[in-house]
Amino acid sequence: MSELTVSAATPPAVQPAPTQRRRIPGETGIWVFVLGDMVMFAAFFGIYVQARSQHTELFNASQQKLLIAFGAVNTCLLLTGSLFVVWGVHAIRNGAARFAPKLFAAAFVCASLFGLDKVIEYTEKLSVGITPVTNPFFTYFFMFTGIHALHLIIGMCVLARMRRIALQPELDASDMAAIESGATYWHLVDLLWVVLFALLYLLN
Amino acid sequence: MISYLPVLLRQRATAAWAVLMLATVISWSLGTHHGPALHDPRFAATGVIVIAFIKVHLVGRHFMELREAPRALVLWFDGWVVAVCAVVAGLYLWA
Repeated sequence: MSELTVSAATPPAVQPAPTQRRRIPGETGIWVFVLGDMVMFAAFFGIYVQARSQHTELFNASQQKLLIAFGAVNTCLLLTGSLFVVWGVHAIRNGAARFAPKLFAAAFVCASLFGLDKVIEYTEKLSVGITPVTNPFFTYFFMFTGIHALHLIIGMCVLARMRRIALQPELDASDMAAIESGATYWHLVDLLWVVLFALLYLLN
Repeated sequence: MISYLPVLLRQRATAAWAVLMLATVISWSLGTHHGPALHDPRFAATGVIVIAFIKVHLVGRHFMELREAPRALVLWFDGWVVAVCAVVAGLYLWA
């Protein structure tokens, strides 16, 4: 892996380990972080559903004040952003690295639109007096979507770095590992939102 | 870029994305009680939970490349999916 070099200018490029052997996508450390974050969010999901079962009427009534379209559009944006990232990684591995910066930029646009959607949603809620202290449902809503938004902002920085790396004329093994790790992190942002969307917007 | 698009569209991940988008629409329908399980909201809610975790599995397998990852990592990931799905559905139905 350390001798791997991917050229953007001279396709076909070298693919990482063209064998059937199983390999960890990206660096091991990113997976430690991903699995740790998933455990933390598992606790959030459990706490939320437990609280919901104790205040079912309140949670159902509060949930009616959410516009499902906000969450659904954001789900589609993140899934599409993830697809662009997958395509970008594929392009680098298969001698089409020149397309990768554009694909990572497209993923960044999806992330930006997600952020814009979230700002509009928060603004709309705050404008009618709904805040994190309105009731337990909205405490969880703002807290979990806020923590997720922090993940999104970090993810946008990661996507920008992936694009910058992909713009280099030649990529070595450490560049490839950084891109794969960034991709793994970005998919985590997607994955967590998929569950948050179901629990916060749809479960009633 | 356009010339490379057919290659990208043939990727397994692209098919997975289409399934994920379809699953989003189905769960939206279930969540608004316009789906096929109208007669019992608990069925719809359980469907929403199960679909969400199936989507997580698909994201892991096709986007995070767990199809080609060491089995231990796959077991950790899918173990999380099954365990958290069971706990969330269990708490929703019986807590």
